[in-house]
Amino acid sequence: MTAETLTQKNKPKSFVKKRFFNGISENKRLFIVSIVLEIIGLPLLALCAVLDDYWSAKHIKFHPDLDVYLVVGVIAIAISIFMGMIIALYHFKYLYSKSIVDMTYSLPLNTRERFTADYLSGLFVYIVPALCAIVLSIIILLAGESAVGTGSNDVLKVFPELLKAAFLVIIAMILYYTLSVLSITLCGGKFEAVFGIIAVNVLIPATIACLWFAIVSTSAFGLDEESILYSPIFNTTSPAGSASFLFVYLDDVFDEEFIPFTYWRWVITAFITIAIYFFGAYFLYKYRKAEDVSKPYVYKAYFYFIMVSAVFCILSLFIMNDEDNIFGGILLCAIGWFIMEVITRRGFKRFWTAGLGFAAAVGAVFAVCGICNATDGFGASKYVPANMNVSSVSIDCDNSPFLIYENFRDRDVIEAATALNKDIIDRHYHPENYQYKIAANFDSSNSSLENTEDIQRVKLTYKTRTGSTVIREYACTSGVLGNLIQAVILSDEYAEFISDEIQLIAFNNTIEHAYYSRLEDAIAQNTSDTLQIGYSLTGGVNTQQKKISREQLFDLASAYEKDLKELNAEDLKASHEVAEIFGYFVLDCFDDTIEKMNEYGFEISKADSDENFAELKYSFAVISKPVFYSSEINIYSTSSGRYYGHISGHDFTLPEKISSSVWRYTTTNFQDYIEQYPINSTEAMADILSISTPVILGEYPLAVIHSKSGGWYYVTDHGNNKEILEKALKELYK
Amino acid sequence: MIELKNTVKKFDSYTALDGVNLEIEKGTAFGLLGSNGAGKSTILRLLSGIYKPEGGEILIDGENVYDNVNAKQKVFFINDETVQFGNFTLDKLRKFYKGYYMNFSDEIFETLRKKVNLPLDKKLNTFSKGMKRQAIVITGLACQTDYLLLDEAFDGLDPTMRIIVKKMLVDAMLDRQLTTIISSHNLKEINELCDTAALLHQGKIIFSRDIDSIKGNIHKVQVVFPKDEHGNPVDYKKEEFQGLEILHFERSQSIYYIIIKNDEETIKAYFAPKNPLLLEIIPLTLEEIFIYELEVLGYDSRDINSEE
Repeated sequence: MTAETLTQKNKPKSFVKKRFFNGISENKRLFIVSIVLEIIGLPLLALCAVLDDYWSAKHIKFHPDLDVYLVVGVIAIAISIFMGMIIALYHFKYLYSKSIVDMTYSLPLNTRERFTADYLSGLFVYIVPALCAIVLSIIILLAGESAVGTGSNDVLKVFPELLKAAFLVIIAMILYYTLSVLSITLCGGKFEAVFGIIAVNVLIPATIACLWFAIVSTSAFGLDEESILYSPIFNTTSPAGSASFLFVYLDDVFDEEFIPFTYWRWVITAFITIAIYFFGAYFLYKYRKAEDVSKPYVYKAYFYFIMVSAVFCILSLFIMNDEDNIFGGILLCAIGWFIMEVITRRGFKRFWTAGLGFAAAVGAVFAVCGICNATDGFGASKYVPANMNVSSVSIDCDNSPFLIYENFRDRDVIEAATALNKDIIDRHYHPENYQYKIAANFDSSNSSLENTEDIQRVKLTYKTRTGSTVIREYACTSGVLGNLIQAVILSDEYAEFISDEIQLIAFNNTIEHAYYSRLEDAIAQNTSDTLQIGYSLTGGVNTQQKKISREQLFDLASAYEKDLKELNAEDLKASHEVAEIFGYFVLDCFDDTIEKMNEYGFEISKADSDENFAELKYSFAVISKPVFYSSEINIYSTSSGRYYGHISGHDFTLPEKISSSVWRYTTTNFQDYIEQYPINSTEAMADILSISTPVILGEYPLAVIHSKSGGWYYVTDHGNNKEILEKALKELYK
Repeated sequence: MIELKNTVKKFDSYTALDGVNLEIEKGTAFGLLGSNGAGKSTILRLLSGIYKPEGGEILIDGENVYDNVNAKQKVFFINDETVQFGNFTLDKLRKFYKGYYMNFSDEIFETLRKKVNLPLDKKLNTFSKGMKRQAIVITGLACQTDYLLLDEAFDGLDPTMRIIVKKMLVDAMLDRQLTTIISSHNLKEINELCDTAALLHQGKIIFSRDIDSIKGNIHKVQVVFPKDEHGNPVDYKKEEFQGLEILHFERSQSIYYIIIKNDEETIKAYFAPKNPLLLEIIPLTLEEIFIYELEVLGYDSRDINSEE
């Protein structure tokens, strides 16, 4: 017999497999309960979805109410997910039950084998029923959709995303189970084991959220409470955080705005967190002793972690929302703290140390809030992701039609967004370098801005290359947005988006009782040969409709996209609007678009005809000078019976002279008008409109024109615009 | 062979075992005696790999037992609880342990089960305490480990069952050199079953020898000495018996009751020069040895009575 065979023979047998199956066998009741709950849960919801889809597609109005089944399904899912805690408690019962610890520890298994087998058998009991439920639901969805043949196939379209969502739920369940195991490992008593799991599941996300809310509320500049939903620390460290990510994911998936990378980043981060919890639990399991069973907490630090987190959450809420009653909050915490101390100590032994502990916890909470305040949210307010690290940016600006699109990947747009962000931050932290205050925290100090009537909410959402999301939200005057708007308009993505939008609106226009958000759906569902295009001429008051064929629409959209892509900054500044298609401007430099429009019978040449401007009577304010920049600002209000206007800009200076064809401003703050003039020369007005443009970027316009339809037009100082404007104004003031 | 080398076991600040050295030869029936809290169960839990010592070594056939699958394969521990098996049937218990102990013998299990007449298919929580105890003992024996550790193993067994279980243990010892370590407060049982015993007190080994030698080394001596020249009984003090290891010294009238930790010959030789009128040397029971040994160490029931 060789030495090798001898070694093999002497090698102790591993009993992991045996222990694993024992774990399942001993907890088969839990396994059965899990399976029943899971089968009642998700497959029932899938069945409801198929039935609902069928009834809706067949227009069957009278059918059984599914609400009760949906409620049963949701409750079953909730309980089956909750089972993770129960299963973990049963599989690691010997960690808090003195009567079985001897039997378990004396078995011929080493620590690693015992922990691994128990962890895996619990996971099997918990996850396998969920996987079965997912598979069954998939079968129901696929078989149901093909059997009922509704044709809409809504479920099938999002099927890959639903699968990914199911995968996400499975990971969240593993996270929940592993966190429960970690918590049990830290406890030695049954009450503490149960309490610990509940506490840690609530307190981990609550503490992270409260810390973030404390950062946001302690005057940290530009930070947004919503960011917490995108924080990997929040949404991968606890099941509750994972659930919030699931909702964000589903919301984004159906909005078609989700970046897959964010999903995979979450998956990877969640697996890392699970690995940390798993190895943390194993490490603590390895170093805990058999005799620790029946101690309330094997590691006392865990108790203080729970208690300090709870105190932090409660007190930070008081500090944020009800600072006047902070002593009430401290009293509330003290009661809870001392009750838990009595339970944990099983009496009052050295109880004075509980008082010290509580004082230290309260002190720590105030210290964290204080540091947070002193450091502007630990420096978060000043953080702007580096250009190279940003994969896309979403810009949300309530008052600008150009800044509402999501996930720009264009480098110029990203650069302009980060530059704007840095500019706003610099203006906030170094106001001494600037003459006017034009940016502030959104919702907090808007009134301190230079021009309170021109407040733009700007929300920048950066998705970074590492998959994280950074959200910043400010209030600023519109003058700061010029470069960003230019970058957006000149980007290819914007051109493609607008081109798609024009087609989407056109196809949806003739579909009754439905609106499809995806272009391909709208095209598929619209069977008309001709489509109605809404358009108007410059300053358009009346939107006109024009019927064109599907092919003509594709050509027009394609031409528009091409023109927009070829547009450069100089052309943008120098061009004038000649028409609008579904509200999207057509500039005089859009040669292909204008050619197609003329070819398809859009009467652009009528733009300056008299009848068009008849409707514009009392509708224009022409302000001769000077403004720095303004996008669309609501200065026109008929409901209040007052007309007022404001002009914004960080280099804002009050105009020396304001002239209007309709009303003339004389006061310096534009709050009043003196008199109105009718437009007495539509030709002059047409001249002005012919040199106007809806977009100006970081320059002084010669005039601002506000149309009754709500649009703004600007006359810029290019070419011979100045002469045309002066001549037209003379005509208007005759 | 089992070896405890300078073993220290602490529970927080309480030292349960304080530098214990102990050797148990293979095939021995070893009894662990001791006061409550002396550390008997702690030793058994250390031997079965449940507890990890804070100091020293616990070796089974030369291998450290803690976290060592190979060493733990050789040990079966039956503790003083039975509730942990409540949800098991006897058959499930058999299957459970059969999976972990490679030498498990279904044949032995079935033979023993028939002897004690236990049902296979009923849950153990329907059994009496004694039946549960029988169930786990036969399972432990069927595992055919080299070492069987029993903590208060005979609790709850009726006299007939005690005899049956003892016989099972003896048979196993004879058949396959099973080493049995029994911790019990029932000294009669230790006396009957064990050939070696150790006495523990406050975490220390007081002695560890074979039982015959323990018994042969401690004697109760009743002695009457001749009266002095005035016709009065001689009033000897304990200190006057230098050279003898006296555990207990008591006088009633002219009769001295002395517990002496020396062999019979030494005692006889010592008292011979004093010409005792009566010298009766009686061997002590294990229970008496236990009481007197611990009395020396201050573990004295009379103290409690006097306090009362």
